Amino acid sequence: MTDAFEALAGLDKVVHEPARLALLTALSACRSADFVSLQRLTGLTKGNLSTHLSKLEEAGLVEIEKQFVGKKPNTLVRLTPEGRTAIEQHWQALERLHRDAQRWQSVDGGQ
Amino acid sequence: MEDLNRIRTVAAHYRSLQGLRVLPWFLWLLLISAVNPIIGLPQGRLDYQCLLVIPGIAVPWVLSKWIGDYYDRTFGRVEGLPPRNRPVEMLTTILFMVIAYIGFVIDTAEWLPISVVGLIMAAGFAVGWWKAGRFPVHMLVLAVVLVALSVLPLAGIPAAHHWTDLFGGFVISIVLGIITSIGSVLNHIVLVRNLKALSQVGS
Repeated sequence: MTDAFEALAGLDKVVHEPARLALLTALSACRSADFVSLQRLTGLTKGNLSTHLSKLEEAGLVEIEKQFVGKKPNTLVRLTPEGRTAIEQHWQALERLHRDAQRWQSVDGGQ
Repeated sequence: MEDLNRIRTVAAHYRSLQGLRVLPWFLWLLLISAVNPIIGLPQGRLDYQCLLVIPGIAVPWVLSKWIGDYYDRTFGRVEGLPPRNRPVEMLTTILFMVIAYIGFVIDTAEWLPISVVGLIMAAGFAVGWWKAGRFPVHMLVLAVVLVALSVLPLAGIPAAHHWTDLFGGFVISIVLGIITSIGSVLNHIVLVRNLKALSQVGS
């Protein structure tokens, strides 16, 4: 069980924060997404979304491209290769922990 | 974890769930299929049909573009991941179109009492559902409905020798038009419901 706690403590805090995990999960399922779609997918407010995207950009996990679609400004976000690897590894770690937790439950239930 | 899975699934199918984008095309197919036999255009006179059908394409095209702009404004843009194996995907699409054409030839030749095109389209829906991670359940339901409709003449329903006896052979396009239109509206409902649920989680 100590290993599991170590694994939990070892999770990347930048990735594991719920809003950022939701953003990275959404971005891992596509090539790119704009600000509006990320807002719709995560339910975050504009301010929160901007803050979290900035943190992810600082960590080198996403790249943000400002562009114009017609005459309107549009913010396009995509995962960097490091970001894609980070979220994939994070999901694998979470799934491992989930399996371990189920195993403990069955052991507890048997006692 | 469930919400994250939901986010992943909706993001992966964001564009295909925007069903209203294609609705004008399906309604156009339905309209052409239903109106043609009613007006009674001369059979084999392609020039009459072309006069009606070709300018008519502009209507669903404009509507589809307008709806697309609405989706981009309201739901934002998501660019999907590229297919893992593009040549295989392209080959599969071409193969499906060839098989559908063969089905159409078989249907119009009235060799079989069932609708082969209907069965092929049902297979298309089922494969689409499977490839989408068994996500929009209504795709599978539509496939089952399409199979049932395609084999109905075997049970003596409708009371005709063959599907093509009804509506001058347009019956399958009418059925397809109705089913695909329902499918595209259901896709839109699935998208809106999921986004609503996700917005409640986020707030």
